Amino acid sequence: MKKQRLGVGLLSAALLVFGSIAPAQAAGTLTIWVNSGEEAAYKAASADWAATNGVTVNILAKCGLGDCGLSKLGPAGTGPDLFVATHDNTGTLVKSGVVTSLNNVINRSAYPAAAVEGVSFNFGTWGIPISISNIALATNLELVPAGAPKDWETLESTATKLISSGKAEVGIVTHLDGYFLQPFFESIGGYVFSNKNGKYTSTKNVGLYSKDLAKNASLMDKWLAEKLFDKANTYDGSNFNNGKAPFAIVGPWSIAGLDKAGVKYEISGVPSIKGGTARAFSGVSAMYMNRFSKNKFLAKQFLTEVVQSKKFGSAISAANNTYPANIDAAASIDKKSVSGKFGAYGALCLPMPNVAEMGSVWTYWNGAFADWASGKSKFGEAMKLASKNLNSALGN
Amino acid sequence: MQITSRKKVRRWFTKILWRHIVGIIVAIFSLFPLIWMISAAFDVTNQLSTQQLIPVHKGFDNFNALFSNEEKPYLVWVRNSLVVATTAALLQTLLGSAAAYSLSRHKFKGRAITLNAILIVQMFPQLLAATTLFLIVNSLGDTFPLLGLGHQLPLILIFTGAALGVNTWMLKGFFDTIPSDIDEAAKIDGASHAVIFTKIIIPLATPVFVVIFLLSFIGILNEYLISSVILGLDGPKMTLAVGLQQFIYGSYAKNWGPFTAGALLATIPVLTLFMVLQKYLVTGLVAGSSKG
Amino acid sequence: MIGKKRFKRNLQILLVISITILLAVAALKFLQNGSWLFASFAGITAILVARTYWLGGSVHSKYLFPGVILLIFFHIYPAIYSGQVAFTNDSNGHQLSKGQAISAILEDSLIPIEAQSPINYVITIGNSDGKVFAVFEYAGSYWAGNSQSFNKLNRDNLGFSPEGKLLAIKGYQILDESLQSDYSQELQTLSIHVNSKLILSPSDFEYLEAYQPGRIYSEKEDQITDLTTKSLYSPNDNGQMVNSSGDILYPGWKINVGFRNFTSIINNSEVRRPLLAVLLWTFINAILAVFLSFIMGLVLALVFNLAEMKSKRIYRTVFITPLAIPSVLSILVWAGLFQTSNGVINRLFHSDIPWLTDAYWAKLAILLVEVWISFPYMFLITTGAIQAISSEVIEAADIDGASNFQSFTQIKLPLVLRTVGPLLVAAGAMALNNFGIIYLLTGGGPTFSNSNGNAGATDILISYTYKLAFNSQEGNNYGLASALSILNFVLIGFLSIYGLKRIKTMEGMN
Repeated sequence: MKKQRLGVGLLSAALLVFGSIAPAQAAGTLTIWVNSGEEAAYKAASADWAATNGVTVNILAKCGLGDCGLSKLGPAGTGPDLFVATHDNTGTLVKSGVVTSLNNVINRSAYPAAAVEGVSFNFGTWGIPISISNIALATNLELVPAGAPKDWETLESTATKLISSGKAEVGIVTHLDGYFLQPFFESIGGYVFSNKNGKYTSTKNVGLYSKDLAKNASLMDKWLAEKLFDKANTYDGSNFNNGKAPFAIVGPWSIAGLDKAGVKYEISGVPSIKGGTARAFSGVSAMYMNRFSKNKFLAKQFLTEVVQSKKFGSAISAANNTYPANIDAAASIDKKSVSGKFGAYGALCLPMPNVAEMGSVWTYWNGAFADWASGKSKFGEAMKLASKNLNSALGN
Repeated sequence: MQITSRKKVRRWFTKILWRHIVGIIVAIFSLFPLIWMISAAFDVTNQLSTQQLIPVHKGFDNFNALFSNEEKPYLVWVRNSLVVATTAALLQTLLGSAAAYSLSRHKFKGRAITLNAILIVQMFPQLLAATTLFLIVNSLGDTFPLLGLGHQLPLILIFTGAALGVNTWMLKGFFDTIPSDIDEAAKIDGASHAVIFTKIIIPLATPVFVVIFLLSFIGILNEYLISSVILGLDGPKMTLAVGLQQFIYGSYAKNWGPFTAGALLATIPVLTLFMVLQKYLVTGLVAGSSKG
Repeated sequence: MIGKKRFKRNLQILLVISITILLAVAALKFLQNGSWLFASFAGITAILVARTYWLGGSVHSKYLFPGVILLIFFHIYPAIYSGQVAFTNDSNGHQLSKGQAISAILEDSLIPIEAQSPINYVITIGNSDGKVFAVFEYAGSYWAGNSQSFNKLNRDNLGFSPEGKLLAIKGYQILDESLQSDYSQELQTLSIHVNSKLILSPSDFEYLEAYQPGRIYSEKEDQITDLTTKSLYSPNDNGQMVNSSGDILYPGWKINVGFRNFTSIINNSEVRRPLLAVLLWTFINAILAVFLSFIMGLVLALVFNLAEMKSKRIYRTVFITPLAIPSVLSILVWAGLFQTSNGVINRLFHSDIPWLTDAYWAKLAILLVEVWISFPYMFLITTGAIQAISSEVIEAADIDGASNFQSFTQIKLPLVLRTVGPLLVAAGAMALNNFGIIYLLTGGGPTFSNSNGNAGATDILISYTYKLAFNSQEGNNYGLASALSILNFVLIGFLSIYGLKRIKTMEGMN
């Protein structure tokens, strides 16, 4: 008797466990993948809408491995409905066929043209811009009481004077790679792809070793020798925090660290060198829709009513220290605040190319910077080689 | 008296002193990262690179940061890691020894092939199947949410399945050294195979078990790739190895202070465990390999 | 006594029955959800459980069974599944099925017709076939349409409310608003071909949006025609639609490519060149790591195997700390210490060495950390092996007048090697796949300039493969990565078998 009861108990317990955990029929559930660490902000910003519409909004952090199985889960019908990615992935996502065009969803007038351009590819607009981030120049106000330099000559002479007097070890704390040095690179005449008014005109026209750049390349070698850049090429923010460097290239992600270190600083754009422009790349964080989502109507409604609202843009940007893409949300940011100054420079910046070819660009371009920084070759030679390799890789 | 003591001193110099010198050098090498880990954990400036051995700005900020960050709940990570590593390491040891017992004590056709096969198969790096595992667990979860992404059960099963080969192989090596007379005698006394396994073999193999459990435990504690893929990067779901890396994730914003503080706290119990079980280590490791 | 035994036996049977039933239920549930593969896994396991533990399976299988089942499901199956990808072109841009890719190409070519304002529609279910139809007014008539059909409705068959709202349609059931969301999946894929220039497709539950098709697909010819350029696209041998001038329509789809990934390892110089360097370093690294840490462990074991040295236990305890610090954490700390500017190590030695960014220094740094991590293990196993050598053997050698060195090389060393030999082979196999150190310390860098950024001077085969699959800036190439992982598996498997065989013959000689 006892045994039987035990068996029945075991069985029913097992059935209970297996039976009761079958998925509940989800009438209104949206699954959204966001960057790790930003879940709370997204949850808070979509809570009201979820409550009023009786929808479960399931915000999950993306895993860090590749595209986290998105390109496999999507086609298999089990991916998220929406996901956040930076705009430079647009080309790859579109070519893989895993995102849906949002031509009918996006309210273009709510965003700066450059941001919309960033999420557009092959005649379609594929993402809803959320926030914009870019690097900027930070000036240590204790070493440079005059504040952010208005032009390049001031920056260079301030830095070299401080170095020669022993007050500073390096001029500008920065990674020596394409993303961080793009303003300088552009200033001396280089470009990744030809562009006009913030729009790329051709991926066939690579300017890693343009005529102007060839002419001015020796400047980069000079600056490296002058210790304007630190040839160790390890981004050591502490040099800036401890007053051993007057300038640093920083991003929105650096601000918390700067404030914590208690350093007095000012954010500004990078001054241009030869009267040209010194634009950094801006990155647009945007929300994309899975082509194979089973809840497209609901997802569209969420994009229209929540993601494109001013409130949402402000909330997300405030949470991750970036500049809102939504024009109304951006207007409410104090121009004198750190975020406002990042934004002011960002408005002039160039959206990072979003074509799939960008993968090869990073490879060769950053490789050239590394060769130059390590003293393996002069800047001009390094860029010449990179340009040649890149053109052959792209089949130009 | 005097002569012998002088002799003793000389003997001490030639035979012992240099050993101390070697010992101290190797000890410094062994403890080198640990020392800096401690130093960085108490340094509030957060920069491993400007670290002084004795920090200039000392404090508990880094430890406070560990326990006050809701997005990075350190204690939850510790619990997750302990649950996964303990369960999986226990299962690995148990299933491995069951398989080893079978391979060591029972003559059956294909025994050698079975042993070699599970050893070789295990050499396929599970890491490279990460995407596949992700997809499998994802579809398991459609039917049984407990076996789905974000849950620890599938991760435990994955780890258990993956380590059968080496453990079985090591344990079989040891079981082979236990004279079969012992279990023959027990069999004559009417003991079943289960009794022989649990009452005779397992007690004799305690040191090997301890070693295999320890190595499996620390191996799983160290795993972060498959863990991050299966559990996801939600704050309260991560394991210690995955979570702590979030502090120094990305090349542009490194947060060494809380990372080293967390690493230090995680190291202390494991280190203690090793110290306590030290005596098993020497015997256990070698016992596993000797084939008699 | 006997009662107790019987009780236990019955309990066992009950447990086995419960597990069997549990698995059977699981199989049914999987079947219900359409995952027949998992269903058969669960089903077969259920049968095997019953067979092994209940219906008198052999003793050995009872012990092997649980481990092997987990091994098959969570290791072998994923390995085979990942392995078969090696024979496909699975990579970015080739992840959809052909059908999915073609409908994506067509969908993306739709051009919204701005002049046509959205058309209000009613969701209905056809009485005859139970399918969803959108009923709407267009060009003065009422129509019922879905992806397959498009019919004009006779006005006599329609019923309106006084306000002009459509209330009833003969042959169709108007869907209650509360049931709409159940049909959202059908509705979102609905596209009504009104004519060759007009497609209507629901944008939500109320409105149809008007589009002009940009491309059409002919199933018979397996061709896509671009309606604006009149260009014809046909499939190429890589799962893409391409026209005569070489323009490709994206996305492409996944196809089987046979051994192409394997041959590309040999034929494609972009893959081959870095691979040779990577393979070489994979072996050099593994051999040096095992050899150096073994030597260090052995020397230390000999040095501290002195009975009269009381403090040796303290040293031993200190020496095993590297083993006890979770290596994922200690490697990251090492990475911090090795930094070039302001790194602790460079500051200690007042040097300026690019530890992690120069090809040679990075290799040295990796070896240093590898030795640091594994010498304690070597120290422990050699200590154990030396202690296991009976003192009689050594005394006998001493009587023979063997010098210290001779007694070591001729007697102790072979005995030690015999004991730890298999462990060294295992350590070597692990070192060949030592992903963690490489990935966390240098990430495989510095990168070769001729490898598309996927391989670097310190990359070993597994880290190179990992980058190809997950971290590539060129897009993830699962097919090639999978081919390389098969190569890796075969190589390491073969070497391990060979190593173990060698040890067996060595043992045989002794």
